[in-house]
Amino acid sequence: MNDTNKVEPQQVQGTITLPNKPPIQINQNAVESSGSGKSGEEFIKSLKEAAKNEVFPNFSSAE
Amino acid sequence: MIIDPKASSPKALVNPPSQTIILDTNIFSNMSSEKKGAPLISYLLELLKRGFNFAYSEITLYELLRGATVQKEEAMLKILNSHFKYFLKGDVIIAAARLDNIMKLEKIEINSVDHGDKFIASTAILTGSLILTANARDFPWPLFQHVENKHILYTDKNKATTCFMVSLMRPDYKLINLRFKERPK
Repeated sequence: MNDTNKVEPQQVQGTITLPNKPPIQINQNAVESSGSGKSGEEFIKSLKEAAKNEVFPNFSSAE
Repeated sequence: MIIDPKASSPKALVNPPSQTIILDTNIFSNMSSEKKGAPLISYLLELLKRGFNFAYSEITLYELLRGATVQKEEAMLKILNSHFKYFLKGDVIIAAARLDNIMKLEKIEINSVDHGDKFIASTAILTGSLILTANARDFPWPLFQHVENKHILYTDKNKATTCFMVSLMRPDYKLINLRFKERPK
């Protein structure tokens, strides 16, 4: 399969409701953790460092 | 499961949050070495520049930390605890169970999908997120749609160029909601 067209982010608005009796109102805040507020760039920088130091396990055979 | 745009606040309309991509556990495991990780990280950077945010599910912590040495555990926690994660709250567990039921109705071989992937999938459904995975079969069609595929090229230990594919998956909310309503009483 070839690489496909590049997708752009959609603006996520509103709450997401599970149809239920009674309805469970769920939104981002209901399932989020706060984290420490590091930016995406900082996260990627730390991932680069992790790859260099072989921090993450290799699950390739189990996947 | 319905996305209700009418429920959004005026403030959200002025400054809506970016869409989040949940990184599947296998994305982290494909960063287990620099050679394999570097091109994947370049792709993540490209997605970041396009305006996406990244997150991971708490289940990924469990999957990554299993079997880790103390040193590796500390190193992973240092990286992951400083970034945004979605909790495995009760609503996620309920949604995962419902997704499992819907998969059965869709005649999807549910035993081929790990529980962990169902938690990640239900978190994406509840938060309007996409999923980035190296194994798209864990987010099966037609409930999930490929919205982007990317081949990640790298040089292996034998200095041969090889590749793996990562996919951005989007839950099909319309179909999931329809199948939910069709569940037997």
